Amino acid sequence: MIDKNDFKALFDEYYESLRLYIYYKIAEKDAADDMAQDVFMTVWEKRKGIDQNNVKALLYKIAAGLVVDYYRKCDIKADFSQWVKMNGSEDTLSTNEQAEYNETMQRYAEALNSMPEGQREVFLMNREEELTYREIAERLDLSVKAVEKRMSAALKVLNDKKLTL
Amino acid sequence: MKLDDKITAKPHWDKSAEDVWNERFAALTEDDGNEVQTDSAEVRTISILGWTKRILSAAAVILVIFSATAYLYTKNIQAPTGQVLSAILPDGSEVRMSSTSEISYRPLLWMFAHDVKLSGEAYFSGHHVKGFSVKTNNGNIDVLGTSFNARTFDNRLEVACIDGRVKVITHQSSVVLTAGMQTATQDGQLKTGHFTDAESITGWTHGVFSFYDRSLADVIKDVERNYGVKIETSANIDTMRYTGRFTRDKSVENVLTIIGQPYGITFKITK
Repeated sequence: MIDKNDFKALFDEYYESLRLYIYYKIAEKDAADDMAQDVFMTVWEKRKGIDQNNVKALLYKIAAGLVVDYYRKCDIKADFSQWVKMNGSEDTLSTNEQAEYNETMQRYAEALNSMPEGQREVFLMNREEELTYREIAERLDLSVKAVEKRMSAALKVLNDKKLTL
Repeated sequence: MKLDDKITAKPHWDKSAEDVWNERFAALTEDDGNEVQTDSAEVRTISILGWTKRILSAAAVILVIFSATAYLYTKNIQAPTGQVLSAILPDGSEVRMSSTSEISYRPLLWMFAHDVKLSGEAYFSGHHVKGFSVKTNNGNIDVLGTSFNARTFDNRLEVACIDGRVKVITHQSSVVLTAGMQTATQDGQLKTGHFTDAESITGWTHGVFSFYDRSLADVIKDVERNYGVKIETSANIDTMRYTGRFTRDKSVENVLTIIGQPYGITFKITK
């Protein structure tokens, strides 16, 4: 059982991360935002039967289910090429530096596209949101060992693209 | 190549989390939460479940109504005063009811329970379905064979088996009768014996009243029932026994003369 206050706290803590999680899977930001809202709406509707202690993993489980439904409807491969960007101003870069960054970004997108979903979500949760392995394991209801395994597999994909962190 | 911190795959959201909250969730209240519909697959599953539930409950209601109707709908057949009425039961067997006797059964439940309720006197014959049973206030008769006569007057049950086998069950005891046997409740027990004259038992079905060593009071009651009259007598007839026969086509005055003459008593018809 969760009330409106619990729900607000849950939203504040996990909404941002949840819509990113869905985005990591499908590489569509509008669809990811819609689905994340649906996840929270489902939680709200089922709030009477929800145990507060494992609600975190439940959010991610519902989201994963929605992603499965999403792929059932449209069978497109996740493509990150339009999403990989540079933070900050590009003006300060020399032409050479600019070209090198473009090359890096392209390889990064390719690496992300070639990763299996499970690897990619774990890798991005860690890299983009700086979540610890333990935190990722708790959210995805995995063991820390499994998270480590996926991370090292993802790093190997980067390595194949001659990318280093 | 160095994948440095400047490079990110994070999208730029159209709406901040705060905007999303305000637009979609801020207005939710504790009591209307259940009615809010979204197009998520999770919610659709719930509503499909809801439909199944609704259909199931509708089916349950119909079933209850049907069972209640089937249970409450009974068919009653009563023989008119002074007449023998013959009826065919759903299993094709025949029942003959003596004057004012009544049977009832539930036609809609017949395929589940072949129970016939009897008050009065009736003669059952023909081929009965398995499980055919006659219920009376004083005991039940499970029909194992074919023809038998049952009487339930004066809180007594008398059953005579003409053909085949029947089982008579009262609260205290039960007995199986074969052809030529009869039983009657007496002080809660079943008194069983053989009869010699089948005509004295089933004669009424074709208008012949035949009595063999019967209490005179019982005979007078039979006459009252079959002619639809009330009879009074000045004499004390409690200890008298009667043996004799007459046919239904005689007038009631005539019959009473036949019965009373040997004892030297007269009867008066009061109604």
